[in-house]
Amino acid sequence: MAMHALQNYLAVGAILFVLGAIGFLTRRNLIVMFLSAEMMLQGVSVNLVAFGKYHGNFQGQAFTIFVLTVAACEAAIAMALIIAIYQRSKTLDVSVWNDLGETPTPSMAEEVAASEKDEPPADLPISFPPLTPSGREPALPERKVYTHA
Amino acid sequence: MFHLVEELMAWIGEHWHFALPLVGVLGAYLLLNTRRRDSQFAGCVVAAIALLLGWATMSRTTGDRVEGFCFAAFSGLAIASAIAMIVQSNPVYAALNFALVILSACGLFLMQAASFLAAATIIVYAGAIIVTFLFVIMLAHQSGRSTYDQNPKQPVLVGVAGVFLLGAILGTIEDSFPNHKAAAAAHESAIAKRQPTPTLPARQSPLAAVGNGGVLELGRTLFSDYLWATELAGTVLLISTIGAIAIAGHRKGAAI
Repeated sequence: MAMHALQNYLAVGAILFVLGAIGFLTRRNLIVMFLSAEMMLQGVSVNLVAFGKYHGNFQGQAFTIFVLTVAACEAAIAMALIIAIYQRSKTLDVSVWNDLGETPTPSMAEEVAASEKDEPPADLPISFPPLTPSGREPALPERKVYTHA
Repeated sequence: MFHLVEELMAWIGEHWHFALPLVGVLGAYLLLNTRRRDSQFAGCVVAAIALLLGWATMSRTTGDRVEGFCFAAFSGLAIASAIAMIVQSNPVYAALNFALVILSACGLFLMQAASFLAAATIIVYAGAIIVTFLFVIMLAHQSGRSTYDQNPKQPVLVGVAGVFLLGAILGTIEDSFPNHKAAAAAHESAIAKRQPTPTLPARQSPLAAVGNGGVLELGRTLFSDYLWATELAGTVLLISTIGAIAIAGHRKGAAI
């Protein structure tokens, strides 16, 4: 019977993992993104416990306890970071923080513009993080192209 | 007409590891469109169909009726609340749905003879992590619904990726465990006959006679085989506590 049950538990773990991944990638709220990441961990835990039962030992449960520990640490750090981020930008939107690169990706910028069109942020003081300008692209020496004569 | 339906069911039964994610992710995608009522209704129907399909494919293999019922109840509740969590536009409800996911997963743990782990997970997740999340949500509360909670980013691409990921995983599981009762019985007898691990007391199977929720055996495993990892986990907890205080300890107005 354990054999029969095992693949069902693995399937449930996989479904939880993929749903968490979908939530992590689609949602823009930082808190919901971290909840989705925790749900992926939960899917992995279901997998580990099912394999521990299948093999008849306690290694799966021991690993799950470590997963639990790391999840608690991750939640503590994530909450601290989210509070710090909220104090700076007064929003939990993750797209506000996508400009660590040179320029935001066009599709993302359009999306943000489209979403803020319907409801203009009237008195929402969004302060963007000050970033050091990275300057012009340095002139590189031209590469020689060798061709077979 | 019935012939067509029969053929469709046969195809789904054959390719369930691809049909199931397709229907489920379609439901989640329809539900993600929180601005339109009809889309949400259709998403609910499609997601319910996906759950029924999953129940139909999984109940083929469970033998015990009570165990099958408990498994269906816990896993169905877990998956339904997981879908509700990722499509919920209010973060408070998302956190509460996540608590439901944890509770149902703990039910699955209980069914796998891991009662200590179930209790620990409820205490740590539902008792500590969820409360912290709710606390932060209240702290960063915004009046009304925020725009960014109602506009998911790239739902189509992510949905397609999710279908392929889940289809690949389920297909691998299906291929790895051929569904034969003889193989299952052979595995059961092999587990029963096998010599126990030397660190555990001499019993038929370590999980067969677990008293006190397996705390004794689990503790023995943790503090003998995984002693260094346990110490390291404690250190990680301490460091993360210090880090959290260092990151979030600033008052408003102070230079960050």
